[in-house]
Amino acid sequence: MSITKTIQGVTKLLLKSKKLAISVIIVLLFTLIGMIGPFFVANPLDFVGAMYEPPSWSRPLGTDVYGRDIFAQLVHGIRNTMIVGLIAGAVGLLIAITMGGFSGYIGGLVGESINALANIFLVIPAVPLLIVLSALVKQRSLLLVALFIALITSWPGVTRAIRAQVMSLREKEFVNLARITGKRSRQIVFGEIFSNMLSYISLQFCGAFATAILTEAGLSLLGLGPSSIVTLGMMIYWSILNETQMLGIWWWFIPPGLVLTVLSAALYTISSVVDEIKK
Amino acid sequence: MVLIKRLKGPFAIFLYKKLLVLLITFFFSATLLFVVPRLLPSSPVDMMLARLGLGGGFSSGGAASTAPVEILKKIYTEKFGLDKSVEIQFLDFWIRIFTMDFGVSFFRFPTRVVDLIISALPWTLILVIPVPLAGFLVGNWIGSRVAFNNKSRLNNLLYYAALYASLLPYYWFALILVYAFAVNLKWFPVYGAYSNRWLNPVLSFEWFLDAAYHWILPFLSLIGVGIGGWAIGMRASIESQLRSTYVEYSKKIGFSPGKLRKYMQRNAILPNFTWLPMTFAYLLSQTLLVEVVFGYPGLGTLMYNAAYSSDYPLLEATFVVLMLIVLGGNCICDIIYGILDPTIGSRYISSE
Repeated sequence: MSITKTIQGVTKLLLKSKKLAISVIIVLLFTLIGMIGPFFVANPLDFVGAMYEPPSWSRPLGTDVYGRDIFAQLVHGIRNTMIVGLIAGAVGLLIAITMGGFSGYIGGLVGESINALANIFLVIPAVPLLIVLSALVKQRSLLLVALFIALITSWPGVTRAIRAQVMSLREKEFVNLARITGKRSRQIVFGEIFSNMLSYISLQFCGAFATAILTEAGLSLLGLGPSSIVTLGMMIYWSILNETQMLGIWWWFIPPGLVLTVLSAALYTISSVVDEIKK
Repeated sequence: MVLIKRLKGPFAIFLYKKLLVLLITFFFSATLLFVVPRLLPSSPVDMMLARLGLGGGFSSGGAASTAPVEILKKIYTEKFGLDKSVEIQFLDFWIRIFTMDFGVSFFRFPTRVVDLIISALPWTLILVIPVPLAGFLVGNWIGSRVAFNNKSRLNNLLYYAALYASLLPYYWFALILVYAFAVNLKWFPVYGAYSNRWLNPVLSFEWFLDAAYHWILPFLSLIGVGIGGWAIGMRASIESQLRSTYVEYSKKIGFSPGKLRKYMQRNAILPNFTWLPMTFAYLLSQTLLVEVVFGYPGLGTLMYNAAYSSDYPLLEATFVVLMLIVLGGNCICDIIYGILDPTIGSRYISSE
């Protein structure tokens, strides 16, 4: 498939589904904010004003208990949360592609055991296990938290989805053709099958990305996210510590959760498009 | 009688196999809890030392001040049994699980870990059990509404609300509910599981009412979990039945639409039931977080405090108990599913 054809296909899809178009725009917007936003706002940990200044023109989201700019926190939070989500999603996807690909194509005992492993991980409640692991490490980097999330929550669901897809593609004509020409199974899986699944995999990635973002926020909410780095979950954690929901400081706890909700809903919408294509 | 008959037949085989899977899952997840912390660079001992402000490597006091730290380290290493060989440690770990004797909590010294868990467990359970039941009813209701009439604005609105409600960060939703209904409107209490007029739960009608009153907001924050899955499943199932020949036939011979709907819903509920255990792990994770927001004295708050005060035995024990809840829930679902579905035995045989 040539690149122009892919772009044409994507444009067609975007024009067809308004929901998808809006979601893509939302995700791109947040990506842009995360990429360039931090250059335009102050250091989120600088004390710039009085305690609990309500939103104003100069400070769109007011200040927190220490007089720090909440808008700056939000922009940095979007960046860091998206980085965690991207790393966790990417590592999880990598594991899922390897495990799901082999399990689906080779099948047999190995395939079944990989599937069983994924099923077991789906049953384990992720947040408690992540709490135990994170509590053990005092200084947690962004990377470490992302890897924890990837290894525990990001891969099992995607592995199963990819496995199912590979199993159905395995029986297709072009795979048989490749097999006849004497290609090895690794070549068939990664060369033939995955090139046909690229769109499916990227949609799965969006789902894993969203789950990772929400998991990171949940972990940060308990103060167990990356240490001394502003993420969206960390903002909610601080606001809970200061009981802002009871003091009525809505400009501190509503924005980070709203961004989380909108971003993850957009990502899930993109990833659920796969069902609509099937129809 | 029917049940006893089923305990021997193919249904029993189905059940034993499911139980075996659950046991393997438990063994695996517990082993994970044993292995992974040992792969990390820091151990519960470092956690204890950091708790005492004696973080390994961070102290720069010279030889004189490191000696007591070394002694402490040795004491804790022995206390946690980390000086023994890995095999013995693994055995100890399983003995701890089987005897439920996880020692004494650091965070509420000298209360036993088990006692802390037992007093927190009911609070988590009364959130975790009703939520999927309510969600099941609401999700299926919305799914069938939109399947029977997808032109209606209201139905579509409900359907998409259900889909997006299952994607919310519930802990944040909980904050908003507190802000709106407890702080601004003052309809509900803000915090805790019962008023602090009582120091401990008591068996009185008044206390019970008060606890129920405190329970409403945490329950409402979680009700969205899984709702979308049921709505999707119900809709798909009924829409596929609408195209089936039996529905067409029943229409032709003059079944009333209401009666037909009832049949279709009943047929659709069973396959949808399998989604229930899938949501347990996620529900439990979310419940723990929502508990922290409300200061609800369940396992989530306990775990939060344990993590905060570096109480490793308590963390370990809570995770084991949470796994038992998830697997117990799965087991109950399997049994109910088996009882509800009369074809399960025959299907099991035909699949062999």
